[in-house]
Amino acid sequence: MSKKVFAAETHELDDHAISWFGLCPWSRTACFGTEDGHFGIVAKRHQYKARHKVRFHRGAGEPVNGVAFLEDIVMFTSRSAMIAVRRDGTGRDRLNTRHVEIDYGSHGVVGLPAARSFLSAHGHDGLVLAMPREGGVDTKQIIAPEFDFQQVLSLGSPWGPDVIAAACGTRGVVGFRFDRGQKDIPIHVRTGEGSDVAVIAKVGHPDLPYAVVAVDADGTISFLDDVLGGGGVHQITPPYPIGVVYEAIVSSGHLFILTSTHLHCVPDLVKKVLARAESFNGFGFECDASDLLPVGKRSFALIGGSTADVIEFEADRLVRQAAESKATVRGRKRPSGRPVSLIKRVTDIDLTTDTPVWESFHNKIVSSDSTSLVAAV
Amino acid sequence: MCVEHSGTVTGPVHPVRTEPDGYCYFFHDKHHTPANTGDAQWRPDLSEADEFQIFSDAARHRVEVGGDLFGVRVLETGEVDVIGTRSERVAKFEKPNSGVPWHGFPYYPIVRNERDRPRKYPVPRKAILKMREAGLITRTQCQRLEKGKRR
Repeated sequence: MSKKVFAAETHELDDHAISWFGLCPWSRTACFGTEDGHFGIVAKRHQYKARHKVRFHRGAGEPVNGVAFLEDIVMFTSRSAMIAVRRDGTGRDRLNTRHVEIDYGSHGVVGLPAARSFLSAHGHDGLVLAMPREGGVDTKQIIAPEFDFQQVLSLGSPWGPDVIAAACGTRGVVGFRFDRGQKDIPIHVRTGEGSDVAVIAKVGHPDLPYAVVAVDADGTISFLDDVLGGGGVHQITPPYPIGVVYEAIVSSGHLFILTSTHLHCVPDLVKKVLARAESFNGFGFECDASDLLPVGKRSFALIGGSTADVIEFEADRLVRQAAESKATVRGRKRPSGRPVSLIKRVTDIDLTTDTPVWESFHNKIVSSDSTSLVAAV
Repeated sequence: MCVEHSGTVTGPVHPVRTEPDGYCYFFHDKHHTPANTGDAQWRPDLSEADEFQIFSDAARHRVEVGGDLFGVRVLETGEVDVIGTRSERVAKFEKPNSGVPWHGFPYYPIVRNERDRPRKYPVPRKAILKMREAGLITRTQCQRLEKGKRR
């Protein structure tokens, strides 16, 4: 067991606990959801101060579990409702005081740029398409009862309709193109026999626009070249149990997996898959966070741990520091400034490595089965 | 000891009373009939002993909201187990009329709003927080359940 110190930033609010954290594409500042259901954006003119002024919008009283932006609307979701708020025309960080509340609890939400809609996951009740219009939001349920939609990802729409990936537990990973006008949607099912997909992560590489990484409940990592059915599935099996799989993200080409006990990392996963590498390595740190979220393309945040509400790491830097033989110790910088709301600190975080470094993984390329099913809109 | 009832009790009664309040429990047929899609179903491979243990823990720790009890099954791996056929992880035990044993069923994690059906509310947040206070779940598990996360 060895202890290392990593450069990080922590974020906390004066009066609220943070349940979701990310980057607001309008203001390019931090935004967050709270455990009491509020959504906030750090005011643009305060972005370089240690204490940030926050513009709040009140929600449904349940912890925010997902946030998506689309044009001038933000949708934030919880177990009890989905709330759509339009941006106020007077500033990039200002929200309209009015909102539209949709009576669906959700497991999370994404924005679909081509369909100009939001798509959210509702377990066995399928997916819900929320289509903003002037003065309201229309909804449509996409039903496929045999699938348990636990997580949806938007893989973008570079050449036409949006491409969606969804984690569906024992039914594996499903992928489909979505066009708002469609009545039936052909769904591609990408799954190995006996799999139980816990989470999926967007790869986001220009050469593999529809690639996702799926992590099974037993820790097996599957890299799918194309969620729509082409390409291969590269499978990597960790050499020891990694804990209850909570979340996974790919940041700067590295894979991070949050489990009930650890934050695991497979450095340069994307680069190695593209190079057809036959072995992978990885490492893990003790961690008590409850959520893992991307912050822009190069950073990620751990939510709900005992150290702080949010700990933000730059992915490349963490991997680089982990590879260094000696711990890097940085001076603490305490912020100053007038008390407002979101408190940001540049700090060092102790992470304890108690797992052996992963070595010599076998990169097994398994079959790439694809089945077409139909879901009714 | 709890004994067999007739009438409203449509299923086998567990012989043991809970502590400290001495509640009786029965395994309601309608929640053990996988073909019945109108009611929540316990996972078929979950034993009666497991189901009763969830109820017993909820009763012992008095995880009560509005008279109803709520419980979970936490595995040795630290996972809050799936107990229902629709990925439910929390059980609800509705307060029965006087003299009638309790029964329970898996409770959906998020608000359901199905076409032509009444809106169904999820496990109350207060119940999840009470399970945390009682030590049935950890802080992290509490945060995950509060957000309707699968694991």
